[in-house]
Amino acid sequence: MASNVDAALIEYLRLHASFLFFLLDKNNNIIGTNQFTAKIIGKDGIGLSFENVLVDFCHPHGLAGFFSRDKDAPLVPLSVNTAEGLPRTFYFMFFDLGDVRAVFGDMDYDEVDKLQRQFILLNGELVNTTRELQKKNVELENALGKVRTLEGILPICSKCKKIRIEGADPRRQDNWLRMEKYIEGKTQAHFSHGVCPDCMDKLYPMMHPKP
Amino acid sequence: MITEALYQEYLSLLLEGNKAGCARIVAKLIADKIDLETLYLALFKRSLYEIGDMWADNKVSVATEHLGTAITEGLMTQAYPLIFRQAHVGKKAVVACVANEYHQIGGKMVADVLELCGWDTYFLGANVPDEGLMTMLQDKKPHLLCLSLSLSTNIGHLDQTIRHVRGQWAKLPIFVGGKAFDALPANVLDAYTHVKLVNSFPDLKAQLLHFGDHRGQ
Repeated sequence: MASNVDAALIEYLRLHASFLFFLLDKNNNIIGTNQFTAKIIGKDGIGLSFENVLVDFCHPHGLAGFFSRDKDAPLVPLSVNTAEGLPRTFYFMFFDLGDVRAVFGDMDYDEVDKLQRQFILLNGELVNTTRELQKKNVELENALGKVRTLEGILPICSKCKKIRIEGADPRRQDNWLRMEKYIEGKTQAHFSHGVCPDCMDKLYPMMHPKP
Repeated sequence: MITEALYQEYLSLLLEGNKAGCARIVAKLIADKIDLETLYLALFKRSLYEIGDMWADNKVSVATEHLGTAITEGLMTQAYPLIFRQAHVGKKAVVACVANEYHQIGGKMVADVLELCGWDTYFLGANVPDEGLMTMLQDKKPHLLCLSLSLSTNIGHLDQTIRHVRGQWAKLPIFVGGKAFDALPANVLDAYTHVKLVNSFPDLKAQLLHFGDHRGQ
């Protein structure tokens, strides 16, 4: 009975359970894995050094120290090179079984759950920000459409200062506009008329006699 | 415009987490001049409700449901250039999910339809604490407050929010809506004044007429 239960348990753990399992020889070369491990690392890994499965593993004592740890010690977080290309962190426990060594790695499900919740919140904030940006963008585009500008070279009459309509026939008088009318048509500016002192002197010399 | 075959293709892609495939379908529909309400209801809402039902039936994981929601929210941005180009009617609305309510897509769809009707909307998103909402109402002085409720278990939070708002704004019209009201008794809002259950886009547009906005019809 007990052996049947053990066999069923081993079968389940080997084929369906979501944890990493590496069986190593004394030199830490992989001699066996479970199905989940093969899926994560993209191959069964047989013959590889266990260290090569890890991302940038550089512990001063190599893996040796891990096998002599107290079994109550916290699990060791190590990152694994995955078939997807992104490293994934698992929390490992190491067993020295004499002729062979066993390594188990599990995810921190609380951490995964916390990340998922944070991801949802962050995504919500991101799409809401995108919505606001789109809205502001349209408002800015609308505002920009109302701002009219003047640029480039303007053809101007040297004598009367009228400006020729761009591309129009210069021989036709109605293609030349008073400067005020031209600028008001091209910009948001408006003109308020007055008389400068020099012109005042010319126009009304009696009102402002020179000393 | 959205045939059953197209919907099923979209749903499959959404369940796979294939954002690019979903985006292609949405881009094509927008290019073919689909109206926003059809896009939102016949594609986004229908697929999310179906995935929600699949989760309830233990056919997909909660992670798949969350991924579908995240992808859908991303896809909604494709329609924004159309939504925000409407001429404004001079009305403002604040749209929010009450505290502890993390399902924000329904509220966002309402905000988008209001924008489409020329309203200026301030969408505050999921899980908005009452203090934040009150500050926003003080700041923006909207003509309308919309509160979204997806889970009926959050009805207590809705009650608290309405009472807080009523403490300062006795007559501010409040529209509430969301999937929660499918499971709540019909008289659940009877205790409040100027609070209406608005649970469909046609109903929302009809209600906007009371604000002097006839553009929705």
